[in-house]
Amino acid sequence: MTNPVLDVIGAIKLKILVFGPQVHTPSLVEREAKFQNKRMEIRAKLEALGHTVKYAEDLVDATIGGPEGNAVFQEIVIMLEYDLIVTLVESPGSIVEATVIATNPKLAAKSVLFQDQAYSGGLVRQCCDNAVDLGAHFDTISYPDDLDQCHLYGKVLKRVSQIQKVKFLL
Amino acid sequence: MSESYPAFARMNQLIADGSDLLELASRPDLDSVLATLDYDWRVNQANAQSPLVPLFSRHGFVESSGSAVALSREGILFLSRLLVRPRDPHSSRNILGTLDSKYEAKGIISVGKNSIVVEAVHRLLGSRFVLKLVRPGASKDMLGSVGLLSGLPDGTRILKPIDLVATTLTDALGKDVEVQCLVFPFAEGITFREFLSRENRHLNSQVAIAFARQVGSALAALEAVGGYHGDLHEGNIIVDERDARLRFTIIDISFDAMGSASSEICRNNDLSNFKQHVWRLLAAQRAAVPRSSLRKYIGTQNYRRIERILSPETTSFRQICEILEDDRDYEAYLEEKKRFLGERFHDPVSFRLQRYEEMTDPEMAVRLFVPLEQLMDKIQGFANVYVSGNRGSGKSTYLASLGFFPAATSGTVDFREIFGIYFPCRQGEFRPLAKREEWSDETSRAVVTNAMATKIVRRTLEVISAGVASGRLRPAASLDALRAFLDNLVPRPGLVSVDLAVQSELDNLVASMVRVEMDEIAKLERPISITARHDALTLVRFFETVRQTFPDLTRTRFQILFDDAGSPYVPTNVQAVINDLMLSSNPVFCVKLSAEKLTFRFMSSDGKALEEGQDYLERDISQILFIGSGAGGLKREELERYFRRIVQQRLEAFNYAATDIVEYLGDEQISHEKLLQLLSMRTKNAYYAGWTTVWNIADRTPRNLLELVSEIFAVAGIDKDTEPKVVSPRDQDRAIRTISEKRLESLSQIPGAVTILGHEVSLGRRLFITTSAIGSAFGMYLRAERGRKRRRQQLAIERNDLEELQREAETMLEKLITFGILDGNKLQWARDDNVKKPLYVLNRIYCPAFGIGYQRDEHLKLSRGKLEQLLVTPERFIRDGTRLLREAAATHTADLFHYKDQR
Repeated sequence: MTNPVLDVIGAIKLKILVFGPQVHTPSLVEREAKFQNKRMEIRAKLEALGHTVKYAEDLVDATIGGPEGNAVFQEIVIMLEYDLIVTLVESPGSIVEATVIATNPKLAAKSVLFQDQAYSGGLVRQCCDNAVDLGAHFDTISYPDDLDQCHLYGKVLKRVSQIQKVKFLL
Repeated sequence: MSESYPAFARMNQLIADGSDLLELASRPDLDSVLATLDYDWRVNQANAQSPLVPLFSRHGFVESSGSAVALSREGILFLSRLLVRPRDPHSSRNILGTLDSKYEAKGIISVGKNSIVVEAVHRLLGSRFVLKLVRPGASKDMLGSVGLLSGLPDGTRILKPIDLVATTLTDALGKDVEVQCLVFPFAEGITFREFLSRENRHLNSQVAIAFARQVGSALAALEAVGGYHGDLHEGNIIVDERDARLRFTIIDISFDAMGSASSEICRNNDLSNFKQHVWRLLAAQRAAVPRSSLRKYIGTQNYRRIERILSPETTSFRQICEILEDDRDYEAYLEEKKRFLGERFHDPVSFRLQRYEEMTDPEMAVRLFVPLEQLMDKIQGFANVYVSGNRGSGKSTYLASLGFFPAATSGTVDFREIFGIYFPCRQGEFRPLAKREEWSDETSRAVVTNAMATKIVRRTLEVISAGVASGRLRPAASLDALRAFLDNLVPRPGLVSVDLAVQSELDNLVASMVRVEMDEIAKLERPISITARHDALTLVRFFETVRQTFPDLTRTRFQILFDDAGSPYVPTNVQAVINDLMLSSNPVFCVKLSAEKLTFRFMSSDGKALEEGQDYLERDISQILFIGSGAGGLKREELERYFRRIVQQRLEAFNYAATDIVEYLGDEQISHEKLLQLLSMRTKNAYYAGWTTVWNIADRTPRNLLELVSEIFAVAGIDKDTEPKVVSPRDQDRAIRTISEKRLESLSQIPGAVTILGHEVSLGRRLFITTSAIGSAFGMYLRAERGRKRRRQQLAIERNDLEELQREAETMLEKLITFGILDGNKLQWARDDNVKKPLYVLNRIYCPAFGIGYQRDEHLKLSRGKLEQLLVTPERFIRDGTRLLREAAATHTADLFHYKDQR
């Protein structure tokens, strides 16, 4: 049995940012490589569904000089424009991004943070908790299973679907 | 979370709070579940026994309950989002319900949470409309809201509904549902989304301001009647580019059909969307011109306006309109800028202002320019001209004097006769056009010709526009012909103009051409595809159109002026295209250029060598200023008078107490013969001093002259308020030697490399060493004259054969000429074989550094081998280049730097 409302909802396209480890140079470290691959996979699969998916590093304009050229400031401005911010809290850069999200309710409210459950007691996790307090959604991942299989992408896709439904129904 | 936040800024919370509703919408048996409600849209009644009632109650969707429940407005809207839908989302069949008899649906534009928008054609009238079917529950008072919109002033750029009708649709469960339908006229154009995403070749630099004005004022009008748009996304702004004017129209106004969102949130959404659209426009522009700052591109005034519009302090559209009309902020900025510059910089009031390019005020340039009549006549005539001459001889100044500068109230030439378009190539404007490895010769020619044509058109329009703005040129009665020409010139879709409130029609054309040029340059970084082929004929047509358009230019002839057009400022492939323009003999425009000797290659892009006298005329300033008898030379008195006038004009311009330079320098110096005697003896009182000495040492070069005078003034502490008095010979000598040594030592700083004996070495260093060798040799020859009754000064090198030099030596000789160290313009009749042979005269500015006289009495005659030795191994030449040098080397150690301690 098909649900035609889902067709209408599925036609709503989102603007999505995917934060995580850099992907321009493949890492030789297995763990980092897995996160890189997952980040690229998330982008590719969501783009295939018609969504606009970007990496922040593609959007930051390195030619802007002065204080306004600061990459963190630029990312804050860029993040405001997007419907969903997916952050794989793993690399130093993504930790900074998670920290920015954890201090800004407007960003937290549309952010989804994923972190390895092994780091449940650390400072970064507490930063994620702060983000949750401001409205972010947080989920743990089990390394390497969630990366090797499609669990992480499934979680992201579910979130995307929920946002589409909210946009249409609420 | 504040309620003033847009709803989706609470996305995660909404997901959490509404998870059960989202789950319901996801059920595969959704319609079966909804059927249990047995909802009757006409009477707002649902089955109280339905398992959905508790869920609806939890979310406030139930208004009253009993045996049958009534839904709240939010409940009706939620249900309509699930049940009122096209049977086939890709087909508009049956979507209009009972309206189907009046309109034929042509396609579904959007299926939204509050409405379904359909493109339709009126069955009787045949005209196109947009029908907005508003979902039940989305509006509180549609009729009242539509009435409110009728209060908007005429001309507001919002597409207002022309009708509000009702239609009966059938919901997904087969029940009738009455829906209100807003009827809008169809808006022609493309959506703002499409506008942003297409290749914005010709986005006028003022598009963001035009957008802000048009859309901002429309939303301000809406705000003033208590309304809002509610859904101001990129698809709801239509961009109409017909009639050569950019118009933005807001469509699909959702005022009071925004379902559950509060008015405050909707207004904030409008503001936030508006700011994002402005930002996107600027981002698109910036992406297209990555090498230019946004501030420079759109201008400081508009940049500051945009900054204020985008700031969080701007919370209403009324404020936005005020910002766009308010000039106070910009005036305050100008005032502050003036104060800053006034505090930290002073207008140049010294002789140190010597290069033409240093003069920021064209008015001052005109005041300080002293043309030599016979030279000016030769340069200003309508013909292709190459202005050459030693460094500092005034090439730039002469060339620029032909240019039209709107800021200068007067000019050297009448722009009604000669309209010069000046390009200061030294600023690097042409360097990006250098040939890339991957370009073929033909690609390079086509690409560079297109870019040059665009540059010339842009620059011409810029100066004309500034001329009209300053009142020096009368405005055109009509710009239609010019616009039509430019529309054909630029790539599709042609020019983009913004409304006249933002900028004048002429400025619109200029702004578009600026953008087109930026695009042309930016696309050089990408694989080239040649889409247009401009040539000299394009420029002829353009200039003819300009003549027809502007009443003051009807008779004028255009001169395209390339100042400092030699390498490296203008790459050789660009030089070839300049040559192509020179070869296109025509009565409308000609080309004039200046360049250092041997840095401009007179070769067209198809390999034709341009002939001097035939394709262009060379006007060598230094040669024209050469003192000599006969037709070729200038009388000594004439040159002296000319140089005196150059200094006098500056003394007058800078308000010095005396305007005759002799009052400061005197002219009672020792005779040159006496100076030679003292110099040969190396006595301490061999002073270079006095006006005659100074202008002779300046060697026909105004910049040398001004540099010498200003240094003397600096040493003696003379400024404009100083009582005129003759500076002591000792102080004058000190200043003159300082300048001379500085000029010699600065040769080392010349960049570049040259191959000597197979090794790549610093060009500057080699120039310095070779010049030192030449000067030192002349110095040794003078010292050898000691004791003779009449001393003679060697000041030139004469070839005593006509054999070709080896490559490295030839290159060095060319560089010595290019950098003005040797003057290679003269040929000398040799008495021994009566053959005219080349003569290379040392620039006299170096004479004081070597302690030698400035009159050319004798020439050092060198064979090919000795000249090559001098040019390639000057260190050896100074020890055994000639018999005299060998003897001198035997008696004391000769080295290249002994000139430093000669007294």
